[in-house]
Amino acid sequence: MNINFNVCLLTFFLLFLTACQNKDPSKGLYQQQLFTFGTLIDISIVSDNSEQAKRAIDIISSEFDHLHTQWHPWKNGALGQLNKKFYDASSSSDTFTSPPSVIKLIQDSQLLSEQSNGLFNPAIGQLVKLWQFDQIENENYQFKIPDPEKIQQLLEKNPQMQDILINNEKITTNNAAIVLDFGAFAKGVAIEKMMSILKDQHIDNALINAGGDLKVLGSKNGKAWKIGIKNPAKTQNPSEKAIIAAIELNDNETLFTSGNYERFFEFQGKHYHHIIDPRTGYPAVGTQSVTVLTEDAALADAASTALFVAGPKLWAEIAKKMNVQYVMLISDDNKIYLTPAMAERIELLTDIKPVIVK
Amino acid sequence: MVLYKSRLEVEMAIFKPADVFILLSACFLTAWLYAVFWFDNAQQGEADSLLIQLADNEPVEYTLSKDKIITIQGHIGPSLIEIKQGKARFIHSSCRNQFCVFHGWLTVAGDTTACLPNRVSISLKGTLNDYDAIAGGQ
Repeated sequence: MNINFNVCLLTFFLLFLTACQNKDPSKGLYQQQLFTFGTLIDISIVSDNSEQAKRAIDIISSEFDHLHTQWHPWKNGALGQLNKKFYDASSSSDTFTSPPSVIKLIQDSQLLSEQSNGLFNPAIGQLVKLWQFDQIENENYQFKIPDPEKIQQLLEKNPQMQDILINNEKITTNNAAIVLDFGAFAKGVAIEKMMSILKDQHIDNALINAGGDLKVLGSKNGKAWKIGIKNPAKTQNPSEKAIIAAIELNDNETLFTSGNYERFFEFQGKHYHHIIDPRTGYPAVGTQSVTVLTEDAALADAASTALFVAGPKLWAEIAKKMNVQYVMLISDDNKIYLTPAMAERIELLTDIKPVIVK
Repeated sequence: MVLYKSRLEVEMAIFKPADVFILLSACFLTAWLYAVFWFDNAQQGEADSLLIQLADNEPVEYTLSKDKIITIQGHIGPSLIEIKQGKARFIHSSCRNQFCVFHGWLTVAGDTTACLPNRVSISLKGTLNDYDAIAGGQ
C-alpha cells in the first residue's frame, strides 16, 4: 500500500472525527444570573439580538427586586406594613388597605388554600415567625425550638385565608392571629409576571430558573427544554446520584419543587426545614420532595407546598382537588410516587420502581 | 494450486496484514472516540468547566480538568471553592447556614449552587446535551 493511500485513509477517518465536535450549542443563547428575590435566578434567552435580551433581563431584574420588597412578610414593603397592622390591630372592626398587587395575592391564594384543604395556608405567618424562618438570613441568630405551648396557642386560633374579607379594596379580619407569609406563592406569581415581561419584549424562547423552580417559553432552538430533577437523597448520602429524573418542558410549562433540604436550621444534630404543617405547627414529615408540572407557576408553587405537607398518603387526593395532573412525590423512605400523567412523561434515572397513584 | 504467493503478488495485494491491523485500529479508535466524547457525555451530562460568579459581575470560567482550590472574596467574606476530579463544591463560606456547603459536589452540567449572603454562585457547564436547568433548589 503506498503512502498516498495511507494519507487518504487517515484523512477519511479524521473527517469522521470532525462530526464529534458539536456545533456551538450556546449560539444565540443569552444567559445571566441574578441575585434577587432572596434566591439565585438564572435566565436563559434564545435570541440573536443580545441588546433585546439584555434589555429584558434589566427589566426583570428591577421588577424582581421591587416585588421582593413589596411581598416580603417582614421587610418594610407593602406586605410587611400590612402584617405590622395585623399585629397592632386592636379589634376586628379595624380595616386595612394595601396596594392592588397584595390584594390580588390574598384573593388568589384564598381560592388555592381552600382547594388544598388548608394545607397551603399563607395565613400562618405567625407560626413561620415562631420558627424564626424570618431570621434565616440573619448571620448572628441562634436557632431555638419554639415553645410547644406557643405553637399550640397559635394552632387553636386557627388562622385561615378565609378569615380575611376584602370589600372595595378594604381588608378586614375576624381572626387576630392572621399574619401573611407568601413564601409558598410569591415566587410562582413573580415568575408569571416575568414571563409576561419577556413576551412584551418579543422574546418567545426563554427559561427562568428561580432557585430550582422554573418556567419555560417556546423551545431551545426547536428542541424542548431538558430539565434534570435533583435527587433529594443526595443531601444525606453524597454517593447517591445527583439527578433522579429528567423531563422535557414545552412552551409555557412550569416545574416547581418543594424539598426538605432547601432551607433549614440545624440544631443539636437535627434538621428543621422550612415547610411548616399548618395542622401540627411543626415542619411537615413524611416527604423529601414534591415536584409539580403545570402551566400556571402560581398554582405550581402553592400545590408543591400543599402536596409536600399532605405527604405520601394524602397527596393524590389534594392534587385532584387542586387540579394538578403531573406530580412526583419522594417520601422519607425513598419511595417515588407518580400520577399516571407524570409517569408517562418523566424519565426516572434510578432503579427505584415508582408507585403510580390514580 | 498455488500454495505460496510470489513476493510480487504480496506487494501487489491491496491490504497487507499490517494494513488490516491499522484499518481495524482506526475503526476502533473512531468508534471509541465517538463513545467517549459523544454518547457518554450526552447521557451523563458531563461538565467540563466551572463558572464562578460574584454578585452581578461577569462569571469567571475555570477548567474542571485541573484540581484546584479557589478563594473568592464575597460580600461578607471569603468563599472557598474546590475543583477535584471534574467536580466542584463549596468547602467553606462566610455565612451562618452553610447551605452552599451542604449542597455538596456539583457533578452534572447545568447544576448550580450559591452562597446567597456572600453573593457567590458556582455552576457547572458542559458542551454537549446537558440539562438546560436543574429543578429542585440550590
